[in-house]
Amino acid sequence: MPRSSTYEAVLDASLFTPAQLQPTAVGRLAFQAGTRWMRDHVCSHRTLVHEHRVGFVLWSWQLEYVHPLRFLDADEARVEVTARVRGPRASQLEVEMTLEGPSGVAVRTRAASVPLRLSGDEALSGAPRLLPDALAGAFHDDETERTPHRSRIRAMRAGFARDGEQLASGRTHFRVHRHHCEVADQWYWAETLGFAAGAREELVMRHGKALPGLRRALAAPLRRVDVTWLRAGQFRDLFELRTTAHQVGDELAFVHELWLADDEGGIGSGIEDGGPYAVVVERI
Amino acid sequence: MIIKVRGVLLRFTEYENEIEVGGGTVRAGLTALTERYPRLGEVLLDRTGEVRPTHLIALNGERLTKNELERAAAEDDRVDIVTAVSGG
Repeated sequence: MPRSSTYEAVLDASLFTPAQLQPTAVGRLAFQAGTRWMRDHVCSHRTLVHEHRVGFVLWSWQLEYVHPLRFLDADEARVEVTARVRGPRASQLEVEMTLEGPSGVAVRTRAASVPLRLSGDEALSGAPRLLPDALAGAFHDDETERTPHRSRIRAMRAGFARDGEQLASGRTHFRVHRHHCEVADQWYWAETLGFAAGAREELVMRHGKALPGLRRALAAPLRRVDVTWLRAGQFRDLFELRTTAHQVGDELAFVHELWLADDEGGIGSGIEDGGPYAVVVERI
Repeated sequence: MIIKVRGVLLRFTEYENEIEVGGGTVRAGLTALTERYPRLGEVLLDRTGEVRPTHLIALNGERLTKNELERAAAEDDRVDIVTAVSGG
């Protein structure tokens, strides 16, 4: 039986929209849950970074809203978290969390991270590597899966193109400030969920008069969020969000690409390989 | 040359992101930079004085290997230092 950590999370108004738990709040709860599982069963986050010189960078995350949970529904929720290493050579850490309210499981998340070997400098710079044996060995046999975690973003976008209709598109910009960052002055991944949600709001407010059906994207709860991160944004970086809204059957889907921009209106650093830094898909 | 520093390195340059330094080569420019900001030197360079592989160096947008740091760099050339990813 894979080991789990279970505990109670006290709910407060800051975690919610009028309709549901905020994606960014779920992201923070999920990160905290994964950190807790690691501390309970392997080692603390501080020990991981400071003594093992290993960090993790998130590259894929899925959030599924299952049963409704609003602010007035409960004082607390039960968090359960499990983790396992994945990939033929322990190249990924996957963490699953459920948060359960009075009606049952409210949200389920799955996060896949890639281990980094930290170089030991104060900036915590690192490069991808396999999980060292000393850490991989701390996972039980039933917490080890040889098949890798795969992101669903590409298949999902192909499905929107094949079966859906694009309703609107738009661009917004945001800058990564320090309150969006973690200890290394690199964006805290959960904040990108907030940037995407902001871009969706802008698109709906801009096109909602001509496309009233789009306004459901502000009124109705999200059903699912999928994210892939390909690079990490950093303190003071400027980003351009390219957002498209799609009607797919009864569902609205928003695809947000996050591109590094510069203050002169350019795109990309000109040094790293091209492409967006992250892709966020919200479904309603 | 102008050395441009981004994101996670800004706190080691007192939040200067474009720094003008002298020196006829990229390596000489980096040396001048790390002498001006010793904490950046501790982050950027390993114990042998080489740039750690976790940081990228580019000259006018062209990424350089550690063997190409002797490339000439004039007053109006631009050198970028990019840290691809950190593990917080």
